[in-house]
Amino acid sequence: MSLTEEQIQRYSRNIILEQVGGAGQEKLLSSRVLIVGLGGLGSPAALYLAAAGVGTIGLLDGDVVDLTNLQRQVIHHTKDVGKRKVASARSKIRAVNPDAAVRSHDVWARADSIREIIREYDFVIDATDNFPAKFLINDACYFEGIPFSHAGILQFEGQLMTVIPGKTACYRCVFAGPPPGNAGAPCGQAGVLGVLSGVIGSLQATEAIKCLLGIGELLTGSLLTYSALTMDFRKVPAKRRADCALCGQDPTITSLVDEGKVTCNRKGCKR
Amino acid sequence: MTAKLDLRGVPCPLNLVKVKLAIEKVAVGDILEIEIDDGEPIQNLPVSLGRQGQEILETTEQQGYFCLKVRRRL
Repeated sequence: MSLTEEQIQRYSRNIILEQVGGAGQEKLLSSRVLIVGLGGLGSPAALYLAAAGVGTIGLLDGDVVDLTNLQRQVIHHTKDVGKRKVASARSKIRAVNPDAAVRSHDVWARADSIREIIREYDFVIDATDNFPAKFLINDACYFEGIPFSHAGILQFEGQLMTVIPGKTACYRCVFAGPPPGNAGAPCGQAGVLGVLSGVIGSLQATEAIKCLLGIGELLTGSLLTYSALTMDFRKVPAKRRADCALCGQDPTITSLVDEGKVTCNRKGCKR
Repeated sequence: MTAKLDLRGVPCPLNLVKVKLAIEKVAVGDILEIEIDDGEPIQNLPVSLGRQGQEILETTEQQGYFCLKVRRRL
């Protein structure tokens, strides 16, 4: 593969970086990233990965665009309300960069199908908004050996961690399982500062690019927390647990299970 | 081995991008000869290349442009 004249210009600010160069850019163009969830986190992640020249971007979301999404889900525009999220996101990605091939998966993340989907990718971005999906992605990426970026946001707080399955702490090493009942109130009830998703989703895209290029140090082995109110970024150490139910020495989770349904039925939520 | 690259008429910073791409294609220790314009390019390019760890062996002024010999170090 060699870069066209147009690509040299388009990606010049990447290529000029010592850690990227022409070889790195070609690597990005031949890389495949799956974004699960095209909401607040997935929007900036998808746009930046497309702009950076990631050659294949997978989009997985079974939702439609709702008016209440637009305050933070910047890949969707007012005219897209009512459209499938994958279709809306696809058109913006293609508009940003025709080099990015988009593969649409207009489905919810489910135990019976997610492994077949994620094994087609080099990196996964967990941009979902609920605990069952987050554990499902963690487990699926572990079984398939695909590195991924976990993130979550609520109100003014965000958190982020990158997982290299089998090598670094997984989501279950940090949190054993979903919180009981309604402990995890969806953002429709708790609220979320829109720009928070831009900060954290962009950090996820950064991790994806670093991982694909093999540069720098990934956010593994610690959970980064961010408070928009105090502007504090904290790294909380997260070690692999020998007794982790998934990646520990004596695992009890040996296949994928759906951790339960998302119960919120407010407008703009899942179901 | 010496490779050549004519970057006359190519503005900053695109000329640096092109040099970077060309340098990636020559072996470490080999020489790349580039032709660049007077003005911004001759002021910026040698400095940028030096900063990136490459070695400028020779700069010669031609009629209205410059010829730069760069050895790939990294």
